[in-house]
Amino acid sequence: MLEIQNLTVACEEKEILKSMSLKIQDGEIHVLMGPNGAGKSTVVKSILHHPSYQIKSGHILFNGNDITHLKPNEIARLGIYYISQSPIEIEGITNAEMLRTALIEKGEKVDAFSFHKKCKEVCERLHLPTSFVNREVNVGMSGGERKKNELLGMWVLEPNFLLLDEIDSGLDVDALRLVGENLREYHEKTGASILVITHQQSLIDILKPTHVHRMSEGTIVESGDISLAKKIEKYGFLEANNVSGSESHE
Amino acid sequence: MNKIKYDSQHDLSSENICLIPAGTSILNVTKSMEIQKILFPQEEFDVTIILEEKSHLELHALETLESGNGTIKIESKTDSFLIFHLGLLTKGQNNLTIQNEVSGSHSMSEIKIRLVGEENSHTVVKTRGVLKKDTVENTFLEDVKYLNEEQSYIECLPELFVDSNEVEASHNVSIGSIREEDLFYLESKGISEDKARQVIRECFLKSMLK
Repeated sequence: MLEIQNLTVACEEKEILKSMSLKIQDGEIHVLMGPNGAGKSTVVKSILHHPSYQIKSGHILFNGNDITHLKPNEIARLGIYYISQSPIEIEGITNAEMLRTALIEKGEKVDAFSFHKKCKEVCERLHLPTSFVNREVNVGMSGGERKKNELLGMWVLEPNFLLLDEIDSGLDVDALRLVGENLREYHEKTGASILVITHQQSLIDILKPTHVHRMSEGTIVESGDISLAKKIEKYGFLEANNVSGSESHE
Repeated sequence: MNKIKYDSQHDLSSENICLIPAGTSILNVTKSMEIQKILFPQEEFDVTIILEEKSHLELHALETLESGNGTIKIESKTDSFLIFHLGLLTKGQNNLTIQNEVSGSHSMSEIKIRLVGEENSHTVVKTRGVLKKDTVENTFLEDVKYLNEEQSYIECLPELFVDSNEVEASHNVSIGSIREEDLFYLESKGISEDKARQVIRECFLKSMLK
């Protein structure tokens, strides 16, 4: 379970999150929606303790442990996996090298044969050539390929909590369906919880979130079920504020 | 001073290892030669590699230079072809000069060096390109990059002397650093900062391999 308690976060001394709270139980899928600048990306980056963000007050608990001030790799090793809106390129390092290193750092024994067998299976699942495993991390890949590449890491590292920041950006219709269905399948297979930032109704339809939250000015102002996402799609963020039908967040 | 002379036909082992002896030595490349490993001595060295006419030398190596002090001089003659890509991890105090002197025409030289210093190491690398008079249609590239880190000191001194009016030559030295976003990306996969730095350094050097 992940719990954010009264989190206030700044970036370059500008306060972005303002005493924000959120609780995600095991196996739940939560969607964060909100206008640009509402602080959605800051939420996921703060959970992972991104060095550009300073946590001024509040706590983040994961399975009862305070992870507020842990290093990103320590948080990742607890099973939290982050996919950013625009995964960066890292020249010179192949996916295989990176994933093998990550597994070894987690304390797992990596048998070369099993590792490649698993990567091959995942590539098939993602409709990627097996050679993708030996490509440099995201180098020369299209937006869609990068997101699939991040999913390759997810299937190999087997986290139990996913943080997805606009994973739908840069995806065409088919790629979006494949990514969405992979996430759904992963969730059903592992029971992983998901916190996803998205405005794509088609992704929301595939993921079938248990909770939807609307953010504004650094905090959650409205929470509900999937109907809140439909209301936002219909009325927009400004109008949604004036339309009743969802519970307000406390 | 002892002079050792060896050539591409006889003195290179089957594993394509080039052992640079201490003292002065000459390596003659007469045909085609590929080097995958270059071993530096800990004593002072001064090796001259002569690329004879129409010869071809290709080096892609990743090596450690420990307390190395010496010079590698490459002489490129007419119609010769040189690829010299070297990734160097430096330890201790090092002073290395790499000189490429082009005395023939229609040759191609490409020298790329990537440097990473170990903790408390101090390395000075001089690269010198000399394009001689009365030569034509040579292509010459010298490219040195190193990672700037607090733990080590690296200084690169590039020089280029062009005495020919008909040449395509460029040389550059650039200093890189490990980007915070790269570190965060690797850390977000569960890799510790120290390990992430090590992986990035290794990959920076490995880019010199074929």
